[in-house]
This record gives sequence, C-alpha cells and structure tokens, in this order.
Amino acid sequence: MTEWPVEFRFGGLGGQGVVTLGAVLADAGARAGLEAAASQSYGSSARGGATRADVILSDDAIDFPHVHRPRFLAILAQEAFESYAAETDPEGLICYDGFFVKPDDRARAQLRSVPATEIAVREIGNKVAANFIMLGAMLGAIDLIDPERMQEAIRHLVRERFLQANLKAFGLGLDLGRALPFAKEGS
Amino acid sequence: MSTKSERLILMGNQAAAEGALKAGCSFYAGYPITPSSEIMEMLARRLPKQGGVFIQMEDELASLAAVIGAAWTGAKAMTATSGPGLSLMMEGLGYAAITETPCVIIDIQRAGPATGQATRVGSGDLLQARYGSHGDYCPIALSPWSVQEMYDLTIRAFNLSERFRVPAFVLAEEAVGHLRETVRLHDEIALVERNREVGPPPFGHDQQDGVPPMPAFGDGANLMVTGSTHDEWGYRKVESPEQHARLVERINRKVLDHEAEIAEVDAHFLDDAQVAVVTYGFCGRSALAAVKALRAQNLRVGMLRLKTIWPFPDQAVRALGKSVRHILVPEMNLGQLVGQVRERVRCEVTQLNQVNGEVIVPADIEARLREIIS
Amino acid sequence: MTRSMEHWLRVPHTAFCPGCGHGILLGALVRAVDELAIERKNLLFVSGIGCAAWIPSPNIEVDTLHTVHGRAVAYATGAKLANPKLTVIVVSGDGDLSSIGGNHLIHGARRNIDMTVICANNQIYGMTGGQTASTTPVGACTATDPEGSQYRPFDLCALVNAAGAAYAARWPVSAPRRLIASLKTAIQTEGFSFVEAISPCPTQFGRRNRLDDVTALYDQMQSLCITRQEAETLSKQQRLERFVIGEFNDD
Ligand SMILES: Cc1ncc(C[n+]2csc(CCOP(=O)(O)OP(=O)(O)O)c2C)c(N)n1
Ligand SMILES: [Mg+2]
Repeated sequence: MTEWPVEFRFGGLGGQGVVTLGAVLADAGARAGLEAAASQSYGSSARGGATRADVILSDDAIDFPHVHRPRFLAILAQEAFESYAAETDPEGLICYDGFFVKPDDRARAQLRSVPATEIAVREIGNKVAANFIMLGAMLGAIDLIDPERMQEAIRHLVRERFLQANLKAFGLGLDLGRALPFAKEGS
Repeated sequence: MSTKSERLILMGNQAAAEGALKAGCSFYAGYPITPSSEIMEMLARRLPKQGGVFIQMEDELASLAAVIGAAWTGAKAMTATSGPGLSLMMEGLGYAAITETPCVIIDIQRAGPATGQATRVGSGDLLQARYGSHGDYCPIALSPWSVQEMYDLTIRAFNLSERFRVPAFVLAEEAVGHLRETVRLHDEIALVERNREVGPPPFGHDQQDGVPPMPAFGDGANLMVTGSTHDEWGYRKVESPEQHARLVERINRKVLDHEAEIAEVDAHFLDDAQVAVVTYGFCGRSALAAVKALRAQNLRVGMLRLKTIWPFPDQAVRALGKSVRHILVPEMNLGQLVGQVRERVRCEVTQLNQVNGEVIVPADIEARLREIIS
Repeated sequence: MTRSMEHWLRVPHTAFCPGCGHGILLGALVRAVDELAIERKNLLFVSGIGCAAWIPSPNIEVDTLHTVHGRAVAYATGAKLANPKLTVIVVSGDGDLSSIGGNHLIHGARRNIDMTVICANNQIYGMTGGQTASTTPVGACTATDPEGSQYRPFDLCALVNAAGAAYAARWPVSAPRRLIASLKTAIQTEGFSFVEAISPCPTQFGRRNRLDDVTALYDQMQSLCITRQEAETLSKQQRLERFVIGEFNDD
C-alpha cells in the first residue's frame, strides 16, 4: 500500500524538458484518480539556468502544493544534484543521468544511474529525449502509476511532432526501470 | 447553481483562460509579460475559434484601452498582465472606474518593484489595484488560492464586473498562476448579463443599487462616454462641485455598499480558535497546512481566508477580531493588507512578511503561531 | 441651397474660441458624414483629450467615446474589432495623436484596421495653454519654448504612410470643400485612413507668434500651403516649413 502523498522532483537545466515531465506526471496522476499538484522554478531565459519541476500526488486534497522533501528525484544536471540530493528523503530514490552527473555522498537516498542521454542519442537520435527516458526509468522502478495513464498523459501534453519519439523514449526508460525495481530498504 | 463535470489538470493561468471563456468573454487585448503570458497564449488560440476577438496591442496602456473600447460595444472583455504592465494600466483603470465600464484584469503578481524578479513570486500589487490610479474609486479584486479558484474566481470576476459595472481584478500570484492542479470545469453556471436598456440615463443616480443600465455602441442610444466628470447623460460637468461629488460618491458606494454581496471569505477551524491567521491567495495554502499541523497537537488555531480583497471583507474581519485574541497576517510583501486588518480589530495583530521572491512555507507560519500561542 | 446640419448636433454652440479652426472642421465632418448617409446608429466617434477631442464630444449626436490623453486610437481599435459593423472615426489633436499617442497612431496604421483618424493640427497644445507639440514648427514661440521651438516637427501624413496607412490627406480648414471630399474618401476607404486638418489656434499659437489678428493667422496658414508638385522643388528642410497639401495615397 502506498503512503500518500508522494513528492517527486525533476531537476535539470532550461531546455532539458524538465517542466514537461512534471506536467506529464501530474496529468497521469489525475488520470489515475489521484489529486495532483505540480509546480516549477525556472529562470528568465528559456535555455540554460537551473530548472526544477515538482509534483505531489495524493489520495486526498493537497493543502500545501509545493514539494518540501522529495521521495523521488530524477536529475539531468550536476547542479541539480548538488541542490537537491541532500533534501531527498533517505528512504527514497535518486535517478540520475550518469552522462552529466557525478554523484557524491551528500545523497542519502538510494542512487541509480540511468544512461538516459546515451540511449536517447543511440536509440532516438536526439539527446533531448533523455528526459522521457529518465521519467520512464523512475516510474518503472517505483511502479506507482499505471504506465498506460502515463502514455495517455504524454499523448495529451506532447506536441504531435515529438510524440512518437517521446513515447518511445518513455517505453525504453520503463524497461530499464522495471529491470531494477526500487525496494524500500528493509522491506 | 453549478454542476461540475470534467476533472483535469490545468495550470492556473490556463484555468483562468477557461474560466474567461466559460464566463462569456469575447474580447481579449493584452501585451506579453511573465508570469501571465499563458493566459494570453491560450486565448489567442481559443477565442477566434469561437467567434471572439484576440489582439496583441503595442503596450499595456493600449491593451486596457482596447478592452474598454470593446466593452462599450457590449462585449465581455478582459486583459491579463503582471506588475510592470499593471503600472501602465493605472490610466485605463481610472477611466474604467469613472465611465463605469465592466472589464476584467487578471494580474499574475511577480516580485516587484519595477522589473524586479520576473519569474519569482510576490503579492505586491494589492494596494496598487485599489489605490494606484488617481482619485477615489473602488474596483473589485478576488484572490484565488488554487487552480480551481483561478477558474471559479475568473468567472465570478466577470459576473461581478457586469453586475456592478466596475473593473474587476483576479489578483493571483505567480505561484498560483503557474501551479498545475486537478480542477473541475463546470457544465452549467449562472452568468450575469448587463442591462442594455436604452432610455434611462446611462450614468444616472436613481437606481437603488447605484448601477445604471449600460447600452452599447450601436444600440441607438447616442451615448456620450467620457472620463471627465459628467452628468447622468454623459455631458461633461467639469466645474460643478455637486456633480463631481455625486458621481465619485456613487461609483464608490455602489461597490462598498454591496460588500455583503461581493466579499467572500473561507473559514477554517475558527469555531473555538484563540489565534487566527488572516490570509489570502497562495499564502492560504501554507497557512492551512500550518493550522492543521497545530490542530493535530490540539492547539486552538484557525484561519480566515479572504477570497475577496476589494472591497475588503469588513464584516468578517471585524467579527473575527472579537472572537480571537491574536491575529497573524502572513504576506508576500512588506505588509499591504495587515493595515486593513489592524484598522478593524482591537485584538493583537502580528505580521509575517517575506519579499525574497519565494513563497512563505507552512513551517514559517507554524513557528510564528507557536510563538504567539506560548 | 445648403442643407441644415442641425440634426447632427447635440448642443447649440461649441466651446471653441473665436477664430479656432476646430469649429470649421466640425462643420466639414458632419457634412461629410451627412453626404455619405451612414446610419447614425452605426457611427462611433472616438477622441482623446484636448480642444480637438471636443469636436465630436459632446457636439455630434451619435455614440461618442471621449477617452484619455493619447489613447483614442487604441480605444477605437477595441471598439472596431469587437463590433466591425461600426464606422469608427477618431478625431483628436496633434498633441494627442502624435506626441503622447504617437505609438498608438503608428501601430493603428501598421495594423491597417478599418478606421478613420482625423487630426486637428493647430501645431500646439491648445487646451493646456500653448506648449510645444511634436508638430510645432522650428522657430515658433510657445509657452515652453519662449525663444522658439528648436526641434523638427513631424510630417504626420508621411509618418502614417510609412507605417502602412491606406490613405492620408492634408488640407487647411480654409479649404472646406477639399477637406470634405477627403473626409468622405477617408471614411469610405477600407483600412486605416488619416486626414490632417490644419486648424489655426488664434488664442495660443497666434498670440505668441505675432499673428493676433485672426485674418492674418489664416492668411499666413494659406500662404504656407503648397501642392505636392511645388514641394518637389524644395529641400526636405524647406518642406518642413510649409504645409504640403493634397492626398498622399501613393500606391
Ligand atoms: C496624461 C495626461 N497628460 C497631460 C494632460 C494635459 N493635457 C490636456 S490636453 C493636452 C494637450 C492637447 O493638445 P492637442 O492634442 O494638440 O489638442 P488641442 O488642445 O491643441 O486641440 C494636454 C497636455 C492630460 N490630460 N493627460
Ligand atoms: Mg493641438
């Protein structure tokens, strides 16, 4: 049984599609019948600069909609690791793209390297698809939301032009994550 | 009243645009500005498809001007902006007030003054909306705390604006405008349509509620609309003390006298509370979490959330002042509404202010409440 | 026989000073509208602030929107887009339309929205006591340039044409027939059309520039009027000292 609410955070740089991940996860959560709140923090420039997207999913009304202590963190940039790793729930999971991130011991949660950028370049031919591989990997590992709801959300929110590539990226990530399921320590 | 149907995830700004469309908005004029632009971009796509008009103007002076021009043709018209644009709109705001033009202004507040921090949050525009244009006027301003209320209160802003022939604000903060949450959109809602009767004076003082009928251009009323002091037919009366006093008093009274109809508050755990938070907008979310945390420890705290900022919910705040011994007012500014509270209560009032471009978190409110209680 | 225009007028007399050109422009305007037989119900006059902004409001008995200083074109844009059936005519001063409202004027022309903008150009801020406008000629004395204005005035017709106006014309109010003809053309032209009426201000301009006598002021205005052909023989600088009159819809 899941203990709601669950807090998620996606961290990266502007242009990596981090905010889209938050929107997709919140949308999927709502499709699964949950309450959802997603927020983001970003700079003025559209490219570069630290960006993060936060999501809370809950089976009850969400009073304060901002994430305080993410259980699940997915990161695509070293800066994001440095900013958020220590705040993450020690009982949670941090997925990071080994291409950009060198983790250190400030993270107390479980760590999992996901070769998202590498696979995106090899399998999709575009490194920007790394974001959806990362999302798939995290959700595959934690198995909280029905992947079909995720795919519906992706279809709803992603522009036609990028849809197939992103669905494929999500699917590749999902397989990666499922192969290495996340289990709470001691459970 | 209303039935709710579709449940979906929207960003606050999108929900406001949905609310505007639901309320019957058929005209949008605006100028891009973070963090409000999603409203404009969504209406740019949606309005023309349903026979409405969208136009991007050359600045915010022109935006509100075009909105007012459109409103006089009978359209429900709106604009959206943020602080720097609101500053430019002060001219049109006063004009809308004195000409009694219904229109809706959605202000997604960011950290000011001036350009400040474009992507960061603040609640610094409350007093500007109320007092920023010269002379005496009283707009209506609503304060949503959720994406659901971005939708609901935008609809309400249109309704109140039509009902009272006044500019109505949705004064939201970036944190609500950019929040994505589950909302339910309504199937059927009650809409207010303005009285377009041709014949009675369009600026007359005889109506019980102070709101004269408002025919549109093209209705054959030979309207004389002017921002100068005018009589009930619109003839300029720029030297008469009586005409000026009568007009200015009426356009203020018609809002202030209807506080009971306009002002809405939302009470939580107030029945036996000894200490209360008076809050509005996004801060209400932090306050609720803090109050619940303290209630879980059997501490008698509660909160009163102001869904309407202007006219200020006088009755509710006065009553609260009599039932609690201490009030805390957290604000993402240096204290814009706390003065309104202090004016109305005799109990102790403490303020909690933060202007760092970030929201006040529940822990900060909780800590301050603990200090007050002990 | 001349037709009475009283049915267009709301008040028995205007507030303009003796000799002011704005009243003549008012007369020309109602005649143009009358001759075009536009349904009164669908006519909307929009003005800004200034003496010129009083030409339609309250004088003309139609829907009038007397707005704030400089924004008449923006208000008119909203009204026209929201109700395209309206014939929208903006009447305002040179200061209103081209100083404080210059940005709205050029954007109106750029968008080419179907409206007519009539500028009563008295080369000065009449209402506020004769200060310099963006149309004041070099050397003319004003309340804020007692030694004579030093900056070049706008050529308003050239300005709106460069911004995309569909039609532009300039006439002195002392040529009422040509003025009326151009007003009619402007109103009938689809898109943004502009008519500049040179409208002398005896009280604020004449008095400060040794043209106290109204006839002298009008004579002076007329002596400065030249045709486009005549203008071609002059330098740009010389042209700015004259009123090049005529229609300027080149394409
Ligand atoms: C924002 C603002 N600034 C200044 C004024 C003062 N003002 C009123 S009329 C006017 C000038 C009008 O000049 P113009 O448009 O040329 O009209 P005229 O009176 O010459 O016909 C000014 C500066 C004002 N009403 N509003
Ligand atoms: Mg002038």
